Amino acid sequence: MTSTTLLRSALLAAGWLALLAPAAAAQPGPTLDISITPVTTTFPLSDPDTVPIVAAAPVQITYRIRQNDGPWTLTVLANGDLLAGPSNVDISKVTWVATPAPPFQNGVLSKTVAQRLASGTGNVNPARQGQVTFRLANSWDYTAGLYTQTIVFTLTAP
Amino acid sequence: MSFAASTILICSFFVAALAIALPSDAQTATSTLSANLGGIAKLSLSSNALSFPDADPDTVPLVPAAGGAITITAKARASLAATVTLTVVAADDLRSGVDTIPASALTWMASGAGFVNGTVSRAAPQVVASWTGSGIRTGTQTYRFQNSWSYRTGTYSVSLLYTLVSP
Amino acid sequence: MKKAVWSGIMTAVGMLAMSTSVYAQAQTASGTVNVNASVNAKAKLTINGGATASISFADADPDVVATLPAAPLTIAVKARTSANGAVTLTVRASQDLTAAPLVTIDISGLKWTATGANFAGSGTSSTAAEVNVMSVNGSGSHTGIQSYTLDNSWAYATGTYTTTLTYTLTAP
Repeated sequence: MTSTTLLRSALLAAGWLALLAPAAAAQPGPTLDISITPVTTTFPLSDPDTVPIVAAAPVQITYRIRQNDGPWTLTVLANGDLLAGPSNVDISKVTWVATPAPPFQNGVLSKTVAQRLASGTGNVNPARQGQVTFRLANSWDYTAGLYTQTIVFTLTAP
Repeated sequence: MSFAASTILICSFFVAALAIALPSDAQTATSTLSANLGGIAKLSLSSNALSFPDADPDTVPLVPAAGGAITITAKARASLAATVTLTVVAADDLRSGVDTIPASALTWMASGAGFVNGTVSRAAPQVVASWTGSGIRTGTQTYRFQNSWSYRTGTYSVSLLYTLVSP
Repeated sequence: MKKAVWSGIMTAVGMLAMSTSVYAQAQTASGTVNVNASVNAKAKLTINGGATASISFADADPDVVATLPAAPLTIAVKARTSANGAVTLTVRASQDLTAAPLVTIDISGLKWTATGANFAGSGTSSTAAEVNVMSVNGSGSHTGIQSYTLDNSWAYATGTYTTTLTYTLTAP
Protein backbone atom coordinates (compact mmCIF):
# COMPACT_ATOMS: atom_id res chain seq x y z
CA MET A 1 0.00 0.00 0.00
CA THR A 2 1.43 3.33 -1.00
CA SER A 3 1.75 6.29 1.43
CA THR A 4 -0.91 8.16 -0.43
CA THR A 5 -3.32 5.33 -0.10
CA LEU A 6 -2.38 4.95 3.53
CA LEU A 7 -3.04 8.63 4.17
CA ARG A 8 -6.34 8.46 2.34
CA SER A 9 -7.42 5.48 4.36
CA ALA A 10 -6.44 7.16 7.61
CA LEU A 11 -8.36 10.28 6.77
CA LEU A 12 -11.38 8.26 5.76
CA ALA A 13 -11.28 6.28 8.99
CA ALA A 14 -10.94 9.44 11.02
CA GLY A 15 -13.83 10.94 9.16
CA TRP A 16 -16.01 7.96 9.88
CA LEU A 17 -15.01 8.08 13.53
CA ALA A 18 -15.83 11.78 13.70
CA LEU A 19 -19.20 11.05 12.16
CA LEU A 20 -20.00 8.14 14.42
CA ALA A 21 -19.04 9.81 17.74
CA PRO A 22 -21.16 12.93 17.43
CA ALA A 23 -23.79 10.88 15.72
CA ALA A 24 -24.10 8.92 18.92
CA ALA A 25 -24.24 12.17 20.84
CA ALA A 26 -26.67 13.73 18.41
CA GLN A 27 -29.37 11.25 19.36
CA PRO A 28 -32.33 13.32 20.74
CA GLY A 29 -31.96 14.42 24.49
CA PRO A 30 -34.83 14.96 26.92
CA THR A 31 -37.74 16.86 25.49
CA LEU A 32 -39.07 19.34 28.02
CA ASP A 33 -42.35 21.21 27.85
CA ILE A 34 -43.76 23.69 30.37
CA SER A 35 -46.55 26.18 30.36
CA ILE A 36 -47.68 28.55 33.07
CA THR A 37 -50.99 30.26 33.55
CA PRO A 38 -51.71 33.06 34.34
CA VAL A 39 -48.61 34.90 33.24
CA THR A 40 -49.12 37.68 35.78
CA THR A 41 -49.49 36.98 39.46
CA THR A 42 -51.11 39.76 41.44
CA PHE A 43 -51.16 40.42 45.17
CA PRO A 44 -54.30 42.48 45.90
CA LEU A 45 -54.39 45.50 48.17
CA SER A 46 -54.97 44.24 51.72
CA ASP A 47 -55.12 45.56 55.26
CA PRO A 48 -51.97 44.39 57.07
CA ASP A 49 -53.94 43.97 60.29
CA THR A 50 -56.48 41.58 58.84
CA VAL A 51 -54.40 40.05 56.05
CA PRO A 52 -50.85 39.68 57.35
CA ILE A 53 -50.01 37.29 54.49
CA VAL A 54 -51.41 38.25 51.08
CA ALA A 55 -52.00 35.30 48.79
CA ALA A 56 -52.17 35.62 45.02
CA ALA A 57 -54.38 33.45 42.86
CA PRO A 58 -52.71 30.08 42.25
CA VAL A 59 -50.38 29.68 39.29
CA GLN A 60 -50.88 26.47 37.36
CA ILE A 61 -47.79 24.81 35.93
CA THR A 62 -48.18 22.15 33.26
CA TYR A 63 -45.01 20.19 32.52
CA ARG A 64 -43.95 17.17 30.44
CA ILE A 65 -40.61 15.43 30.25
CA ARG A 66 -39.77 12.84 27.59
CA GLN A 67 -36.69 10.95 26.51
CA ASN A 68 -35.24 11.36 29.96
CA ASP A 69 -33.79 8.68 32.14
CA GLY A 70 -32.09 10.97 34.67
CA PRO A 71 -33.05 13.64 37.16
CA TRP A 72 -35.03 16.76 36.29
CA THR A 73 -35.45 20.03 38.18
CA LEU A 74 -37.78 22.99 38.01
CA THR A 75 -36.40 26.17 39.60
CA VAL A 76 -37.54 29.74 39.99
CA LEU A 77 -35.38 32.87 40.24
CA ALA A 78 -36.46 36.48 40.68
CA ASN A 79 -34.79 39.19 38.65
CA GLY A 80 -34.65 41.46 41.69
CA ASP A 81 -36.66 42.84 44.58
CA LEU A 82 -40.23 44.01 44.11
CA LEU A 83 -39.82 47.54 42.77
CA ALA A 84 -42.02 50.63 42.58
CA GLY A 85 -39.87 53.50 41.39
CA PRO A 86 -37.20 54.11 44.03
CA SER A 87 -39.00 51.96 46.57
CA ASN A 88 -38.42 48.26 47.02
CA VAL A 89 -39.72 45.31 48.97
CA ASP A 90 -37.19 42.56 49.54
CA ILE A 91 -38.07 39.64 47.30
CA SER A 92 -37.58 37.28 50.25
CA LYS A 93 -40.90 38.61 51.53
CA VAL A 94 -42.48 36.44 48.82
CA THR A 95 -42.88 32.77 49.64
CA TRP A 96 -44.85 30.03 48.00
CA VAL A 97 -46.68 26.85 48.73
CA ALA A 98 -46.89 24.27 45.99
CA THR A 99 -48.81 21.08 45.35
CA PRO A 100 -48.63 18.19 44.84
CA ALA A 101 -45.73 17.55 47.20
CA PRO A 102 -43.70 15.73 46.00
CA PRO A 103 -42.53 16.55 43.40
CA PHE A 104 -43.29 20.18 44.27
CA GLN A 105 -42.00 21.86 47.39
CA ASN A 106 -42.54 25.12 49.22
CA GLY A 107 -39.95 27.87 49.27
CA VAL A 108 -38.89 31.48 49.44
CA LEU A 109 -38.07 33.59 46.39
CA SER A 110 -34.48 34.70 45.90
CA LYS A 111 -32.88 37.14 43.50
CA THR A 112 -29.46 35.53 43.77
CA VAL A 113 -29.95 31.78 43.83
CA ALA A 114 -32.51 29.86 41.80
CA GLN A 115 -34.79 28.06 44.21
CA ARG A 116 -36.01 24.53 43.65
CA LEU A 117 -39.72 24.40 42.93
CA ALA A 118 -39.97 20.74 41.89
CA SER A 119 -37.75 17.78 41.07
CA GLY A 120 -37.91 14.16 40.02
CA THR A 121 -36.38 11.51 37.81
CA GLY A 122 -37.27 9.98 34.49
CA ASN A 123 -40.12 10.92 32.26
CA VAL A 124 -43.29 12.76 33.00
CA ASN A 125 -45.59 11.76 30.23
CA PRO A 126 -48.41 12.50 29.80
CA ALA A 127 -48.08 16.06 31.12
CA ARG A 128 -48.79 16.75 34.75
CA GLN A 129 -49.85 19.84 36.61
CA GLY A 130 -48.82 21.58 39.78
CA GLN A 131 -50.18 24.61 41.57
CA VAL A 132 -48.06 27.35 43.11
CA THR A 133 -49.55 29.93 45.39
CA PHE A 134 -47.29 32.91 45.96
CA ARG A 135 -47.67 34.76 49.26
CA LEU A 136 -46.41 38.19 50.24
CA ALA A 137 -45.73 39.19 53.86
CA ASN A 138 -47.88 42.30 54.40
CA SER A 139 -46.71 45.32 56.38
CA TRP A 140 -47.62 48.86 57.32
CA ASP A 141 -43.98 49.80 56.75
CA TYR A 142 -44.03 49.43 52.97
CA THR A 143 -44.04 52.63 50.93
CA ALA A 144 -47.23 52.86 48.92
CA GLY A 145 -46.96 51.88 45.28
CA LEU A 146 -47.50 49.27 42.59
CA TYR A 147 -44.56 46.90 42.87
CA THR A 148 -43.53 44.51 40.10
CA GLN A 149 -40.80 42.04 39.28
CA THR A 150 -40.26 39.26 36.82
CA ILE A 151 -39.50 35.72 37.86
CA VAL A 152 -37.94 33.04 35.69
CA PHE A 153 -39.04 29.42 35.71
CA THR A 154 -36.39 27.00 34.43
CA LEU A 155 -36.95 23.33 33.73
CA THR A 156 -33.78 21.27 33.35
CA ALA A 157 -32.85 17.64 32.80
CA PRO A 158 -29.05 17.45 32.85
CA MET B 1 -11.30 9.11 -7.70
CA SER B 2 -8.28 11.41 -7.50
CA PHE B 3 -6.47 11.97 -4.23
CA ALA B 4 -7.67 15.56 -4.15
CA ALA B 5 -11.28 14.61 -4.67
CA SER B 6 -11.20 11.92 -2.05
CA THR B 7 -9.47 14.28 0.34
CA ILE B 8 -12.19 16.85 -0.19
CA LEU B 9 -14.83 14.20 0.41
CA ILE B 10 -13.15 13.08 3.64
CA CYS B 11 -12.89 16.68 4.86
CA SER B 12 -16.60 17.10 4.18
CA PHE B 13 -17.27 14.18 6.55
CA PHE B 14 -15.41 16.05 9.29
CA VAL B 15 -17.43 19.20 8.71
CA ALA B 16 -20.72 17.31 8.74
CA ALA B 17 -19.77 15.42 11.89
CA LEU B 18 -18.80 18.58 13.64
CA ALA B 19 -22.02 20.25 12.60
CA ILE B 20 -24.16 17.43 13.94
CA ALA B 21 -22.30 17.45 17.28
CA LEU B 22 -23.34 21.13 18.29
CA PRO B 23 -25.94 21.32 21.23
CA SER B 24 -29.30 23.31 20.98
CA ASP B 25 -29.97 26.70 22.88
CA ALA B 26 -31.66 26.86 26.29
CA GLN B 27 -35.07 28.47 26.63
CA THR B 28 -36.56 30.24 29.64
CA ALA B 29 -39.89 31.80 30.45
CA THR B 30 -40.74 34.71 32.64
CA SER B 31 -43.76 35.62 34.68
CA THR B 32 -44.56 38.90 36.37
CA LEU B 33 -45.30 39.42 40.05
CA SER B 34 -47.42 42.48 40.71
CA ALA B 35 -48.11 43.68 44.27
CA ASN B 36 -50.71 46.35 44.97
CA LEU B 37 -49.28 48.03 48.06
CA GLY B 38 -51.50 51.06 47.79
CA GLY B 39 -52.07 53.71 50.39
CA ILE B 40 -53.97 52.69 53.52
CA ALA B 41 -54.85 54.65 56.64
CA LYS B 42 -56.26 53.35 59.88
CA LEU B 43 -56.93 55.19 63.14
CA SER B 44 -57.87 53.76 66.51
CA LEU B 45 -58.67 55.60 69.74
CA SER B 46 -58.63 53.92 73.13
CA SER B 47 -61.81 55.77 74.09
CA ASN B 48 -64.58 57.56 72.24
CA ALA B 49 -65.70 59.58 75.26
CA LEU B 50 -64.22 62.30 77.41
CA SER B 51 -65.87 63.65 80.54
CA PHE B 52 -64.90 66.52 82.79
CA PRO B 53 -66.45 66.56 86.27
CA ASP B 54 -67.58 69.72 88.00
CA ALA B 55 -64.87 71.39 90.07
CA ASP B 56 -64.12 74.54 92.02
CA PRO B 57 -62.49 77.00 89.60
CA ASP B 58 -60.33 78.37 92.43
CA THR B 59 -58.78 75.02 93.33
CA VAL B 60 -59.02 73.27 89.94
CA PRO B 61 -58.48 75.91 87.27
CA LEU B 62 -57.76 73.17 84.68
CA VAL B 63 -60.03 70.18 85.03
CA PRO B 64 -58.44 66.92 83.86
CA ALA B 65 -60.57 64.45 81.97
CA ALA B 66 -61.91 61.60 84.05
CA GLY B 67 -60.49 58.33 82.81
CA GLY B 68 -57.11 59.73 81.94
CA ALA B 69 -55.39 59.97 78.59
CA ILE B 70 -56.60 58.78 75.23
CA THR B 71 -54.19 56.42 73.49
CA ILE B 72 -54.03 56.92 69.75
CA THR B 73 -52.70 54.41 67.23
CA ALA B 74 -52.20 55.68 63.68
CA LYS B 75 -51.33 53.23 60.90
CA ALA B 76 -50.47 54.54 57.49
CA ARG B 77 -48.99 53.25 54.29
CA ALA B 78 -47.92 56.39 52.50
CA SER B 79 -46.05 57.52 49.43
CA LEU B 80 -42.30 57.89 49.61
CA ALA B 81 -41.32 60.72 51.98
CA ALA B 82 -44.95 61.81 52.28
CA THR B 83 -46.12 63.64 55.39
CA VAL B 84 -48.76 61.75 57.32
CA THR B 85 -50.87 64.00 59.56
CA LEU B 86 -53.41 63.53 62.31
CA THR B 87 -55.67 66.47 63.10
CA VAL B 88 -58.62 67.19 65.39
CA VAL B 89 -61.40 69.74 65.06
CA ALA B 90 -64.43 70.47 67.20
CA ALA B 91 -67.82 70.21 65.58
CA ASP B 92 -68.99 73.23 67.57
CA ASP B 93 -68.32 75.10 70.78
CA LEU B 94 -69.22 73.19 73.94
CA ARG B 95 -72.95 73.57 74.15
CA SER B 96 -75.65 73.19 76.82
CA GLY B 97 -78.88 74.26 75.25
CA VAL B 98 -78.33 77.86 74.20
CA ASP B 99 -75.36 78.30 76.49
CA THR B 100 -71.88 77.79 75.06
CA ILE B 101 -68.29 77.56 76.20
CA PRO B 102 -65.63 78.16 73.52
CA ALA B 103 -64.08 74.99 72.11
CA SER B 104 -60.73 76.56 72.94
CA ALA B 105 -61.47 75.80 76.59
CA LEU B 106 -60.25 72.30 75.69
CA THR B 107 -56.50 71.84 75.52
CA TRP B 108 -54.31 68.76 75.46
CA MET B 109 -50.86 67.59 76.38
CA ALA B 110 -49.43 64.87 74.14
CA SER B 111 -46.74 62.22 74.35
CA GLY B 112 -45.22 59.98 71.71
CA ALA B 113 -42.99 60.58 68.72
CA GLY B 114 -44.54 63.05 66.35
CA PHE B 115 -47.29 64.15 68.75
CA VAL B 116 -47.64 67.80 69.80
CA ASN B 117 -49.62 69.74 72.41
CA GLY B 118 -52.48 71.91 71.30
CA THR B 119 -55.78 73.72 71.78
CA VAL B 120 -59.03 72.59 70.26
CA SER B 121 -60.62 74.80 67.62
CA ARG B 122 -63.94 74.70 65.86
CA ALA B 123 -62.66 76.92 63.06
CA ALA B 124 -59.80 74.80 61.75
CA PRO B 125 -58.35 71.33 62.33
CA GLN B 126 -55.41 71.37 64.69
CA VAL B 127 -52.41 69.12 64.24
CA VAL B 128 -52.20 66.37 66.81
CA ALA B 129 -49.28 64.55 65.21
CA SER B 130 -47.30 64.27 61.99
CA TRP B 131 -44.77 61.81 60.58
CA THR B 132 -42.88 61.03 57.40
CA GLY B 133 -43.60 57.90 55.41
CA SER B 134 -45.28 54.63 56.29
CA GLY B 135 -45.52 52.98 59.66
CA ILE B 136 -47.40 52.42 62.89
CA ARG B 137 -47.28 55.25 65.46
CA THR B 138 -48.71 55.43 68.95
CA GLY B 139 -49.11 58.31 71.35
CA THR B 140 -51.39 59.76 74.00
CA GLN B 141 -53.48 62.86 74.49
CA THR B 142 -54.39 64.16 77.92
CA TYR B 143 -57.21 66.67 77.69
CA ARG B 144 -57.93 69.48 80.14
CA PHE B 145 -60.90 71.79 80.46
CA GLN B 146 -60.39 75.43 81.35
CA ASN B 147 -62.55 76.05 84.44
CA SER B 148 -64.25 79.38 85.21
CA TRP B 149 -66.74 81.06 87.52
CA SER B 150 -68.28 82.76 84.49
CA TYR B 151 -69.73 79.57 83.01
CA ARG B 152 -73.44 79.07 83.28
CA THR B 153 -74.52 75.83 84.86
CA GLY B 154 -75.26 72.91 82.57
CA THR B 155 -73.84 69.79 80.97
CA TYR B 156 -71.87 70.90 77.97
CA SER B 157 -71.01 68.61 75.10
CA VAL B 158 -69.19 68.66 71.79
CA SER B 159 -67.80 66.11 69.34
CA LEU B 160 -64.17 66.08 68.34
CA LEU B 161 -63.43 64.74 64.88
CA TYR B 162 -60.02 63.15 64.27
CA THR B 163 -58.70 62.78 60.72
CA LEU B 164 -55.65 60.80 59.69
CA VAL B 165 -54.37 61.61 56.19
CA SER B 166 -51.85 59.37 54.43
CA PRO B 167 -50.78 60.81 51.05
CA MET C 1 -27.22 12.63 27.80
CA LYS C 2 -27.41 16.02 26.38
CA LYS C 3 -28.54 18.66 28.78
CA ALA C 4 -31.68 20.42 27.65
CA VAL C 5 -33.51 23.41 29.02
CA TRP C 6 -37.00 24.05 27.91
CA SER C 7 -39.80 26.23 29.14
CA GLY C 8 -42.98 27.65 27.74
CA ILE C 9 -42.95 31.11 26.30
CA MET C 10 -45.18 33.68 27.91
CA THR C 11 -45.74 37.36 27.59
CA ALA C 12 -46.27 39.53 30.64
CA VAL C 13 -49.04 42.06 30.23
CA GLY C 14 -51.62 42.12 32.95
CA MET C 15 -51.71 44.46 35.82
CA LEU C 16 -49.07 46.84 34.53
CA ALA C 17 -51.85 48.41 32.52
CA MET C 18 -53.66 49.44 35.72
CA SER C 19 -54.03 53.15 36.27
CA THR C 20 -51.40 54.51 38.67
CA SER C 21 -53.62 57.32 39.91
CA VAL C 22 -55.01 55.18 42.71
CA TYR C 23 -51.55 54.96 44.25
CA ALA C 24 -51.27 58.76 44.30
CA GLN C 25 -54.59 59.33 46.11
CA ALA C 26 -54.46 60.26 49.77
CA GLN C 27 -56.04 57.80 52.16
CA THR C 28 -57.91 59.01 55.21
CA ALA C 29 -59.22 57.51 58.39
CA SER C 30 -61.32 59.22 61.02
CA GLY C 31 -62.45 58.87 64.60
CA THR C 32 -64.75 60.74 66.96
CA VAL C 33 -64.50 61.57 70.63
CA ASN C 34 -67.60 62.86 72.40
CA VAL C 35 -66.88 65.38 75.15
CA ASN C 36 -69.07 66.15 78.15
CA ALA C 37 -68.27 68.79 80.77
CA SER C 38 -70.34 69.27 83.92
CA VAL C 39 -70.76 72.83 85.19
CA ASN C 40 -72.82 72.75 88.40
CA ALA C 41 -74.18 75.56 90.53
CA LYS C 42 -71.58 76.79 92.97
CA ALA C 43 -71.21 79.67 95.40
CA LYS C 44 -68.24 80.99 97.33
CA LEU C 45 -68.05 83.95 99.73
CA THR C 46 -65.02 85.41 101.42
CA ILE C 47 -64.84 88.37 103.72
CA ASN C 48 -61.41 89.92 104.01
CA GLY C 49 -60.17 86.78 102.24
CA GLY C 50 -61.54 84.33 104.73
CA ALA C 51 -64.66 82.72 106.03
CA THR C 52 -64.96 85.03 109.03
CA ALA C 53 -64.00 88.61 109.91
CA SER C 54 -64.38 91.05 112.79
CA ILE C 55 -65.05 94.74 113.01
CA SER C 56 -64.83 96.96 116.06
CA PHE C 57 -65.84 100.47 116.97
CA ALA C 58 -63.57 102.50 119.22
CA ASP C 59 -65.12 104.53 122.05
CA ALA C 60 -65.51 108.25 121.29
CA ASP C 61 -67.14 111.44 122.57
CA PRO C 62 -70.71 111.44 121.18
CA ASP C 63 -70.50 115.23 120.76
CA VAL C 64 -67.39 114.88 118.60
CA VAL C 65 -67.98 111.57 116.86
CA ALA C 66 -71.65 111.18 116.32
CA THR C 67 -71.11 108.12 114.09
CA LEU C 68 -68.46 105.58 114.97
CA PRO C 69 -66.57 104.12 111.96
CA ALA C 70 -65.10 100.59 111.56
CA ALA C 71 -62.47 99.28 109.21
CA PRO C 72 -63.98 98.37 105.82
CA LEU C 73 -64.63 94.79 104.80
CA THR C 74 -63.67 93.35 101.43
CA ILE C 75 -66.39 91.05 100.26
CA ALA C 76 -65.75 88.66 97.36
CA VAL C 77 -68.65 86.77 95.77
CA LYS C 78 -68.22 83.95 93.22
CA ALA C 79 -71.19 82.11 91.84
CA ARG C 80 -72.14 79.78 89.01
CA THR C 81 -75.78 79.64 88.15
CA SER C 82 -78.12 79.38 85.21
CA ALA C 83 -78.42 82.08 82.60
CA ASN C 84 -80.90 84.14 84.60
CA GLY C 85 -80.25 82.69 87.99
CA ALA C 86 -80.55 85.30 90.72
CA VAL C 87 -77.42 85.47 92.84
CA THR C 88 -78.03 87.24 96.14
CA LEU C 89 -75.91 88.15 99.16
CA THR C 90 -77.76 89.14 102.34
CA VAL C 91 -76.81 89.83 105.95
CA ARG C 92 -78.75 89.38 109.18
CA ALA C 93 -77.81 90.18 112.78
CA SER C 94 -78.23 87.49 115.37
CA GLN C 95 -79.24 89.97 118.08
CA ASP C 96 -79.11 93.61 119.07
CA LEU C 97 -75.68 94.80 120.13
CA THR C 98 -75.54 93.27 123.61
CA ALA C 99 -73.19 93.95 126.54
CA ALA C 100 -75.14 92.09 129.18
CA PRO C 101 -78.67 90.87 129.68
CA LEU C 102 -80.96 93.83 129.14
CA VAL C 103 -77.96 96.02 128.29
CA THR C 104 -78.37 96.45 124.54
CA ILE C 105 -78.05 98.89 121.68
CA ASP C 106 -80.72 98.55 119.02
CA ILE C 107 -79.23 96.85 115.98
CA SER C 108 -80.70 99.51 113.70
CA GLY C 109 -77.92 101.77 114.92
CA LEU C 110 -75.50 99.58 112.96
CA LYS C 111 -75.52 100.82 109.39
CA TRP C 112 -73.33 100.27 106.37
CA THR C 113 -72.42 101.62 102.95
CA ALA C 114 -70.93 99.63 100.08
CA THR C 115 -69.14 100.14 96.80
CA GLY C 116 -68.70 97.73 93.90
CA ALA C 117 -70.76 96.62 90.92
CA ASN C 118 -74.07 95.07 91.90
CA PHE C 119 -73.58 95.93 95.61
CA ALA C 120 -76.32 97.82 97.38
CA GLY C 121 -75.20 101.34 98.21
CA SER C 122 -76.25 101.22 101.83
CA GLY C 123 -78.22 99.33 104.40
CA THR C 124 -79.33 99.08 108.03
CA SER C 125 -78.72 95.95 110.05
CA SER C 126 -81.70 93.95 111.22
CA THR C 127 -82.43 90.97 113.36
CA ALA C 128 -85.87 90.54 111.86
CA ALA C 129 -85.02 90.03 108.19
CA GLU C 130 -82.24 89.45 105.66
CA VAL C 131 -80.85 92.70 104.35
CA ASN C 132 -79.69 92.74 100.74
CA VAL C 133 -75.97 93.42 100.26
CA MET C 134 -75.51 92.37 96.62
CA SER C 135 -77.63 90.89 93.86
CA VAL C 136 -76.96 89.94 90.23
CA ASN C 137 -78.30 87.60 87.56
CA GLY C 138 -75.99 84.96 86.14
CA SER C 139 -72.58 83.54 86.87
CA GLY C 140 -69.50 85.47 87.72
CA SER C 141 -67.17 86.95 90.31
CA HIS C 142 -67.93 90.19 92.16
CA THR C 143 -66.02 92.18 94.76
CA GLY C 144 -67.23 95.04 96.93
CA ILE C 145 -66.17 97.10 99.93
CA GLN C 146 -68.59 97.32 102.85
CA SER C 147 -68.08 99.93 105.59
CA TYR C 148 -70.04 99.74 108.85
CA THR C 149 -70.88 102.64 111.17
CA LEU C 150 -72.49 102.76 114.62
CA ASP C 151 -74.58 105.65 115.83
CA ASN C 152 -72.93 107.15 118.95
CA SER C 153 -74.99 108.36 121.97
CA TRP C 154 -74.72 109.61 125.53
CA ALA C 155 -77.67 107.30 126.31
CA TYR C 156 -75.65 104.11 125.95
CA ALA C 157 -74.78 102.23 129.12
CA THR C 158 -71.11 101.44 129.42
CA GLY C 159 -69.98 98.02 128.21
CA THR C 160 -68.59 96.00 125.36
CA TYR C 161 -71.41 95.27 122.96
CA THR C 162 -71.32 92.40 120.47
CA THR C 163 -73.45 90.80 117.80
CA THR C 164 -72.93 88.36 114.96
CA LEU C 165 -73.66 89.24 111.36
CA THR C 166 -74.37 86.24 109.17
CA TYR C 167 -73.93 86.64 105.42
CA THR C 168 -75.82 84.31 103.12
CA LEU C 169 -74.87 83.83 99.45
CA THR C 170 -77.41 82.10 97.26
CA ALA C 171 -76.75 80.88 93.71
CA PRO C 172 -79.65 78.80 92.36
